[in-house]
Amino acid sequence: MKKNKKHKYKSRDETKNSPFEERKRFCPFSQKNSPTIDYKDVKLLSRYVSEKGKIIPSRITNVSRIKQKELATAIKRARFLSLMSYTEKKY
Amino acid sequence: MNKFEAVLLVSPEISNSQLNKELENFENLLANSKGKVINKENWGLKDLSFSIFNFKKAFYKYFQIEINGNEIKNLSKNLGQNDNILRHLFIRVEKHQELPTKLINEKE
Repeated sequence: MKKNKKHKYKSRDETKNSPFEERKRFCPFSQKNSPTIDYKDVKLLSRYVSEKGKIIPSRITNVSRIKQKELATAIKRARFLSLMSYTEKKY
Repeated sequence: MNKFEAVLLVSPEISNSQLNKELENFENLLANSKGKVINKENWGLKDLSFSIFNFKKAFYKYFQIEINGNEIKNLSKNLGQNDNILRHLFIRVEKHQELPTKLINEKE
């Protein structure tokens, strides 16, 4: 019987922390004391908006799917109330 | 009775007395549709990110109200007919956050 070659995944040993190592990615909103998403909190929301005022995708900001949906609705509400701009990033 | 957060954008052209008159009739509208205002906040005159009805600034009013859910439709219809109120937004929330809100903290 052909012995199936078990792929031994390269286990990431902690000692070798080279900069190109895959860093542990975590969602900034689902930690213990992470801030709550609110359409009035313009300073927090504008951190997740690009220079042209577009929402940055969650694959770049590591935000979890549920929190990204809350973030998107909060940003759209802030835009409707013109607290945030549609086309540029206003600090 | 559901809890709502209401944000009103009032046009900057009107005088202070008329501004208070607008708020009174908003509260009367609330009262006769059996709603009540939990607390109010005034974010003051802020400049808009984009011009609405070619106004560059607007008075922001923030209310935390408790009202029956189906009253909201005719309430927003009345606000829509009003020319002095540029925009309004009702958001249903589970529980009211305590004041002051984030926008006020930035000011100080």
